[in-house]
Amino acid sequence: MSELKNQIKQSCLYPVLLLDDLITERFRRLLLHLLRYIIFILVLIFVVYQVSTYWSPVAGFWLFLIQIKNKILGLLFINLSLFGIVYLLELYFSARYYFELIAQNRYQAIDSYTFSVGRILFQLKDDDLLASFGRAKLGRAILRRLGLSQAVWQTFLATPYTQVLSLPVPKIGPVVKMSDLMEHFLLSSPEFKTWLLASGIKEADFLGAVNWVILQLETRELSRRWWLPENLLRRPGIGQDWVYGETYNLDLWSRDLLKDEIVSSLQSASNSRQKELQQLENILVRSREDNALIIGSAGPDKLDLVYHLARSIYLGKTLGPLRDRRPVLLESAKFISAFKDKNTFEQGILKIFSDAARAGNIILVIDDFPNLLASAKILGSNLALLIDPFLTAPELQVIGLVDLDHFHDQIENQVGLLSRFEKIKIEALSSAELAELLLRQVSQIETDYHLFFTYQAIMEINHSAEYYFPDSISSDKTMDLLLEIAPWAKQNNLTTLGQAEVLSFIQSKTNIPLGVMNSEDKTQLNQLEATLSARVIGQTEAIKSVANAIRRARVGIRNPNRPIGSFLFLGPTGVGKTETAKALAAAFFGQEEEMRRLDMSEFQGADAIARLIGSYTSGQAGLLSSLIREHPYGVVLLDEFEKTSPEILNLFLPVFDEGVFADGSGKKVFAKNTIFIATSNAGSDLIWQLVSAGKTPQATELVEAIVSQGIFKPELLNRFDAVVVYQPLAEAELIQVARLMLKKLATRLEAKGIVLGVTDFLVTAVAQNGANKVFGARPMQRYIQDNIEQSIADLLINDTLSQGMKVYFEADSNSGSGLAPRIEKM
Amino acid sequence: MRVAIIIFNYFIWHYGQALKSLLVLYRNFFQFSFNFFSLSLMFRTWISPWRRLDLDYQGNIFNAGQWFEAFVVNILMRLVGFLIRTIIIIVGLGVLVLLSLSLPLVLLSWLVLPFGVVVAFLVGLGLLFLP
Repeated sequence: MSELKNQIKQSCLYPVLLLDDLITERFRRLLLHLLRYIIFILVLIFVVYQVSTYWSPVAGFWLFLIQIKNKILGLLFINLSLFGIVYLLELYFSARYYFELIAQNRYQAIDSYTFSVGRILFQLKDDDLLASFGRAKLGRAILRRLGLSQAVWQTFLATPYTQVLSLPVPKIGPVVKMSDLMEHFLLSSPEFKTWLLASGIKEADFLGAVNWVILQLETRELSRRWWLPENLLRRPGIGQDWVYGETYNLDLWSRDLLKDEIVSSLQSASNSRQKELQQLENILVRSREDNALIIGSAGPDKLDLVYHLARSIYLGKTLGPLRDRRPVLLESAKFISAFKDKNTFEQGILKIFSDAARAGNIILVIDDFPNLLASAKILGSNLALLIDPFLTAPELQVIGLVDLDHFHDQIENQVGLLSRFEKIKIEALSSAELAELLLRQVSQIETDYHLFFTYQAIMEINHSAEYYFPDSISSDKTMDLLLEIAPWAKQNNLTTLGQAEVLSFIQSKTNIPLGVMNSEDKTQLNQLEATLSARVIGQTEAIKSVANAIRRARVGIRNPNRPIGSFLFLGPTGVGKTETAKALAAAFFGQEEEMRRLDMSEFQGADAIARLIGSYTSGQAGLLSSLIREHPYGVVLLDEFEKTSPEILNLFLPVFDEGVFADGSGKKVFAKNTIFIATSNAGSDLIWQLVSAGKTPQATELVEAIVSQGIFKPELLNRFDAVVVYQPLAEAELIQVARLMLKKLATRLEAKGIVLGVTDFLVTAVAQNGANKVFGARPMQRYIQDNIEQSIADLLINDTLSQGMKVYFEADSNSGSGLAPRIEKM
Repeated sequence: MRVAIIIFNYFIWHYGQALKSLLVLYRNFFQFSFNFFSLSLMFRTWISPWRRLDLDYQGNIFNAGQWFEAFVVNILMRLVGFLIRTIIIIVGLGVLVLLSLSLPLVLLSWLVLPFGVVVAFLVGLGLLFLP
């Protein structure tokens, strides 16, 4: 017998594992159910028999039962005995089924390994632990959570790999845990690690999925053990509130948190919340200043801490003096809206606080405390003074929930009020804590919607919430994404959600192309320059810069703490700068309309900053801040960038550098999913000079000139991903642009049933007569409008041209434009 | 062999660790009953007014009527509180006594349970197959 198999037998868990292998947990529970039903039926039959012996009409009907009385009793005894055996075995199993994550301290050195590891060891056939991992039910569950099917696992086993033939040494504690064994797999078998990576599973994902599966198993097992003190004590005692007063007035405007569904279904708090909860309890049990102000950024985190306090009280896990307390949430908004004048408001407040103080066990939680203070002020009442006697009374504790912004505005300057409270600052949950929160919530969503989430899907939700929705409140948006994706998956007939499905969901919300690239996507990305060149003529350098930015963003290697891209397009007018921005919006965000223009020449003068980012004093919203808040995913074209004031230019430094800026009221605006394109005619003269001298203008040369002229500062230019120089269009390029413009007109006419013949003659005429050295290709549009569109319009009005006809333009020296229309029937 | 290992270890557990666990289970039940009937609170507040529905003594020697009114109401409220709490205390103590009395019985049953299961099986077979 191999050493490994010997090791298995030496553990105290061996007999339980044997039992588990002989009669599986599922089979035992099924058997118990079945036997319960059989016993019930047999007891029922026996009761009928007993009744029949005393009641003759029934006796006649159930006569045959009397004949088989002993048989029924015999069956009942056998079933009771079988039920007893299975139940005792279940108790034996349950008593020895230790816990790995929830109660680590229950293991002893003599156990050698945890039960989960034992289940994998028990599947050992040829000393290869990796193969037994895939055979064990637990291993299969982990692989499934990683999105790996059994077929995929079998293909790995079929390839040559280093087998894992020994158990690792325990890292922490006396026994080998699943995390030890899994790390051992990764270390001992490089092929396994490589295979995981090739399947898109990082080491952290693998270990995280293992912990998640074990945690789910144990949480389920723990909740089944009704006899444990933590489960027994969940039931509140009879008459705990008989000793305390009724709160009729308070009840009208508040919610009892001990009876709240959210509290009873709450999972245990994360580590950072535990610390804050401890801090809160310590404040509430003090003999004086036993009121707390919970201060944090806007969002549900502050209330969440109060829910956790209520949960601790509900489970009897709080410090002694808080055991019989009743946390009650005053619904400030509802209360404020009901009172219209100072007197009734003050009476209402006094009634509520008197009720709460008289009851003797109330912890009064005031949501949005600054709002209540401000509303009282509007009515002419000084709330701080009014409630001051209650804040010093030992019978009542008050918890005020305050947003960080409002704390500085409205509370910090009220020294008297502040001295009655102790402050607790709530920190935002870390990414790891949010992931833990998500993992605990998933089971419920899976049951409600009949879905299955892979571990990577959950991690992607957590990551995407931070990456693509940076302006929302972290814990809120992460949970919201999880809650939103479930109905979306149902609508799309999905049952298993992996990373790709989460990315598709994010794409549907943001229009940002995400997810795994298929061969079509890859071809499109490789041919991006060609696609863009079809719209933007001649500007190879510009197109290359833009295409590279798109490719970087699409493969997910761009810096997440900057905008997707920021470009400065320099060049004379009419060379395709705006057209490039439009083409970029269409290529990246799916439609041209995702490009939004700001004419920067409008932002000059004293009120420029207020108009761009808003003003706190006037309450005016800023154009840029509103635009980015409303459309965080898109292209922003900053037209004529050089014409704005230097203060505005400075404002863009953090925007291009960090993808974030503060609006007029100090609130952050996130522009991390935006592409900025600034266009400028600065340096056009130099470009013309160089082109006239037969040279190609270089960006470095132009940048030096612009800096020396003081148009842009070097620190601003440095923050652009690329400064792109647009060359004036040559004759051949102007002809291409003219052809594109005429084709657009032809498409519009085609919709009206008229065909425009875009001949070489017409194209050349437009290019030669319409283009202008100074204004580039732009005047061609005017030329087409004045000479071709107008001519066609006249023909249509005179009924000379109608549907089903073809119109050509030919040379005509008599006409002012040198063009004359010729009509043909089709 | 596998079945023999399970049975052997089962009996070690049944007459060792399980007995201890049974006592712990009883302790949990005692704790639960004590908590469920809020006995500690009931004793501490046995004669407190019902839901703090008491009146303040605002009268004085010259206004004995008002003082007496408050006195009567307060006595009544204490009486109501006393009666209801006494009922809960009696029920709670009754449950605790029943639990205590059942402990030796349950312990004894646990000790003979493995034999009881075998006996029940044999009796069942006898009833089923004997004429």
